Amino acid sequence: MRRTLSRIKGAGLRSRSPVLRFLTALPGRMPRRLHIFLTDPASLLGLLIVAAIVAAALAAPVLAPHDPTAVSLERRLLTPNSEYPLGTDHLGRDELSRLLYGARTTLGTASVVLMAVMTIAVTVGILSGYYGGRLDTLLMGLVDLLLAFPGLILAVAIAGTLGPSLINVMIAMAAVWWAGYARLIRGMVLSLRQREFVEAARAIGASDRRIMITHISRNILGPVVVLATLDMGWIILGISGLNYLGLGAQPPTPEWGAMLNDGRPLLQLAPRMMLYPGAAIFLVVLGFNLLGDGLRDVLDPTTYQR
Amino acid sequence: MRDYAARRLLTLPLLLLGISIVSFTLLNLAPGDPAYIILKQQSPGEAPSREAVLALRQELHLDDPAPLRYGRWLVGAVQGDLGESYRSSTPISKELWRRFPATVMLTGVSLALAVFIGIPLGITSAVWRGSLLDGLSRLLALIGASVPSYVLALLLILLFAVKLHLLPAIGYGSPKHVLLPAIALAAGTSAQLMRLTRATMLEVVRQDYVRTARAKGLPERVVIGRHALRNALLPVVTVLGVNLGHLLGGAVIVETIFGWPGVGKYAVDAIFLRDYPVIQGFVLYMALIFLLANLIMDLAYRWLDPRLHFGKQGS
Amino acid sequence: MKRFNIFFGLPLLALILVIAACGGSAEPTATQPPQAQATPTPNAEETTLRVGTPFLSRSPATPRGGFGAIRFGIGETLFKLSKDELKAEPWLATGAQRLDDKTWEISLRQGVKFHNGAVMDAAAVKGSLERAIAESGSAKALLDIAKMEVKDSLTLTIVTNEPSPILPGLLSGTTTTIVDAAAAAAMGDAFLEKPVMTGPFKVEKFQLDKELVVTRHDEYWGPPPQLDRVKFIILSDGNSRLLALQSGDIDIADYIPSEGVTVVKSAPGLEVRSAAPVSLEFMYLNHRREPWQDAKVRRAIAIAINREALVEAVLQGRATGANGPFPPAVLECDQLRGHTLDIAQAKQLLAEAGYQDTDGDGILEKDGQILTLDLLTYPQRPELTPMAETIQASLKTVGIKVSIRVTEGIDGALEQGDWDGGMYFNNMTVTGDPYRSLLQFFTTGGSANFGGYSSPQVDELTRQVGQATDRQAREQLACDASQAIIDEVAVVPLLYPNFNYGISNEVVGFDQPHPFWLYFIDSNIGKR
Repeated sequence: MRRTLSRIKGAGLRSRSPVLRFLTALPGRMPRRLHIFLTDPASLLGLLIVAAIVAAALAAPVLAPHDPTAVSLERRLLTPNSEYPLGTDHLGRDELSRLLYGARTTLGTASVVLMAVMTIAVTVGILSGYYGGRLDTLLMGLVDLLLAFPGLILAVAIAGTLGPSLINVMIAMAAVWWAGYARLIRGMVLSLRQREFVEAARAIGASDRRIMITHISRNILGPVVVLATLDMGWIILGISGLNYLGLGAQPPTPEWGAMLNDGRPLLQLAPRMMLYPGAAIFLVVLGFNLLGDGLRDVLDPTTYQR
Repeated sequence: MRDYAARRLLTLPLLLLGISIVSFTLLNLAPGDPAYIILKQQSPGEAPSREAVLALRQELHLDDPAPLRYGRWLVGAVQGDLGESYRSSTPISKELWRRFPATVMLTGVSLALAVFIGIPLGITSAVWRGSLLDGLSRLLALIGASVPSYVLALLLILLFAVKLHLLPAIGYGSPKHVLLPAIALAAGTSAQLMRLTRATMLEVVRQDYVRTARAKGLPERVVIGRHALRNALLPVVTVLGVNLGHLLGGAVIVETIFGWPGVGKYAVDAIFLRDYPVIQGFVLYMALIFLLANLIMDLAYRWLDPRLHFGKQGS
Repeated sequence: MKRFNIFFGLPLLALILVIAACGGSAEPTATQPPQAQATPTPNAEETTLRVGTPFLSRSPATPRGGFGAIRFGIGETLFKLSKDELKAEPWLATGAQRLDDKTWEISLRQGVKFHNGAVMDAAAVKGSLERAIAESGSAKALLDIAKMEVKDSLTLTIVTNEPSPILPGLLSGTTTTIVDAAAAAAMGDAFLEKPVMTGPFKVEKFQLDKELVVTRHDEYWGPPPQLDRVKFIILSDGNSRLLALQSGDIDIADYIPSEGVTVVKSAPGLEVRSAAPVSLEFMYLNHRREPWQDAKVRRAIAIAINREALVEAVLQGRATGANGPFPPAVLECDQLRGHTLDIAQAKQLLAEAGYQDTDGDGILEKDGQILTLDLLTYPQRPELTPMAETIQASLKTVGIKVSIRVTEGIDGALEQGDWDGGMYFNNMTVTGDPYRSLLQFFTTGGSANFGGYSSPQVDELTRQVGQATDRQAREQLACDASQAIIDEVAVVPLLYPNFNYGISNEVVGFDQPHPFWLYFIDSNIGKR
């Protein structure tokens, strides 16, 4: 096991803190990969960050000191003080409360979109890559259609006909975003299809479905997770962009992307208005990425084999 | 491979037709009267009179039935004439063509920046995994991926143009004009590339043929450079292809902020103004770019990994 | 044979793309040797003013592009709106006399030369107006001309189909910009790139959506232009205009948002210029829907809004609270009674209208229906959304629940009718006369009367304004109409926003901008 790990130049076993040493010395047989995950400080940090933000989002009604939509014009653009720990925005609303409630909106929307996108993309990608032939051409043709189509037009059309709301944003984004991933996943499946273990599985008479579900899925899960976690950030930013058009969370509902947009005219007068949601987005992306990296190491079955 | 390429090229017109029909339908679904909106934009702040709106609707044939309008457009489009913009009354193909160099320039420079920064960092990160370089690169990549391009653009202008007076804040023409917009765009792509290169390199280095190469006694440089890299770059190529297409569609917000006369801003303005012919023309242009880029990428796939076979499994 | 390594291939490809694009399309900079081409690089003695503007979306040579032509000092109309009173005053014409109901005699200015040196006479003006009418349905509808006659070289007689008491004002419309029609016919499409007009500057180079370069017209009839060249760079983002001004890439930032004003004021070397506002920001109310049909409810809304707070908080003080539909610069009325903030009175009115808070949640109900207001707003006018949010908070204190909907197609949405309130911005000074605005917004079936407001009184007053020949009488009638509009709360007037420019202190001759932003570049502007 150690030899495999050190194949990558410069990799050694990561250092462990006393806490982690204690954790890993727990009785019972802990799966090897989970052990690796828990001993990697980066993965743990990622998990911690994501857990903290999710917890903050869920606990927003309890944590937030003020009503995030309470307009108070006499108290606009206050710098951080004891009553308003992060200051107030251009309409006198508490920034901290808006950030906390905004976490719910932003993370919730992004998660739903991400899950929908990945589900569709993985299904289409596997089917297309594995079966090939006419199904592949058809599905990839659809993918091409979607990729070639400027998403903005679709977004405006949806907003115009269905009406501007958070749900319609999710629909618009999910309907368009899966295409790029499908293509990528199909590519992975294509290279996997030729690998020995697939041939071996077929040789012992495993059905197509079983091959697809067990063997291929497990092998692409790692890269897919990496993609998904990195793209959490893109999706959040995409939601923010659509917000500028009027799609998505309607004012005064707090949402990080909308807060970014609101802060733009005040870039020079009150840069913290862009800084807070920007930092929040950055933290979320950081957390998901670290987490994703760790998960990849856990979920990728070709790692640490033999 | 030639057959495959030929087959793909033949389906191209079919796809373009499909895309144009879809966009035409969608446009007619979105509410808003182009005549009203455009008149209002051209005399800002004035509500256009009813006669003016009716007159313009007549001039633009907006009251003709939809299939007729589509047919008219299609006949022109096949001959290369994409019609005239409702807003500027200038030929659309000419306008797209005029803006193309600007978009290509921005795309080219930002992709070059992304590739030159992202891929090498990804490789070194994978090779020296766990080192300080790896950590720093990953941090940089994270920052690049999580800052929206328009925020980065504004910050860059504030720093380099307003405070330091080193580069122009807006404009187009000389190399120094393209630098800030390209950096603003490149950040996201280079982050993507770096992460993906690192991830796939890590995957690939564990493969059997790498062990074989090492066992053969080949120097590490060759192992990485020739064997590992080629396969690691497969998904990278796909990402590049997607980004290339996306960027050639015009980085709208960056173009708007820097006053960069590219294709993207042209299209987005048209969407807001319901300038139907421009949107149709732009959709066609985007479709063409994407389909061609995808074809090239697919061919690159096959070239990079000759183990891939297209068509039914087991062939 | 060593295989082509894709690691180098890809960046190389990108590099090739870059070089190709750069080589093919880069324009000369000051450091490159001058090349023989259509655009001579300015020499050191020439003064060039650089303006960042969002307002040019088609060739100024077209009737629809007339706004740009006038704004940027290229073209002129027969009459313009005066700075102090926004009334028609002589420009290319020296006077107008109404001979009868439908006939006007226009006296033209002597010595006006087009950009190509041709003399502007009555025949040329007739040709220009005929071209405008032929090419633009709105010019045709606006002027409603039956026939024109050249009486002598400097006098033109115009006969309209219907009586037209305000024709001189209509002749300030942007679609009526005077061009050399003969040259337009002769030049064909080239005219769109180099229009021949009469203004202090003529077009040297025009690239759609990119830039417009104009040079001085040496034979200009008016005061000699102080600038040799003006370069307009199209920048549609307000933030980037501001940043470009701060970095010194432009000398004038055309139309900066109110936050930008604060930044400019505190920056050394930069100044702000604003003029008395001529536009109105207001809230439509949907008179076709139940709660808003009750005048008491409408009044309650109108007096529950704190306009002063809106001015201070949302527009940083660069606006005035609105009394009625017309800003004072456009229509001066004595004794106009506007809406004064009175929350208590608002609550009482709502109570009188039968609304009560039966379940104690702070929102009023009546007959089991809660009082909610679906308020539309749009991003193209950024300050409207924070205003809507503030209004939402204000109306909550009197028990009305407001929900905001942002749409990027406000006119389409308003027309659809599925709303209760709608934020809107409009310029109220078109043609310098209140008639058109009254007609469009406040008469039954008016083209911009999205709320379905209908008042026989206002309809009648507007009709009379349209027919009155005496300016005093028109204004008095318009004031009466305004008062009725205010009392009946046809719309909820909110404020009159300023139009702000940011300029570098090297700019001279631009101390007091014209209140109507149509008049911007003239021969007085200079650069140190």
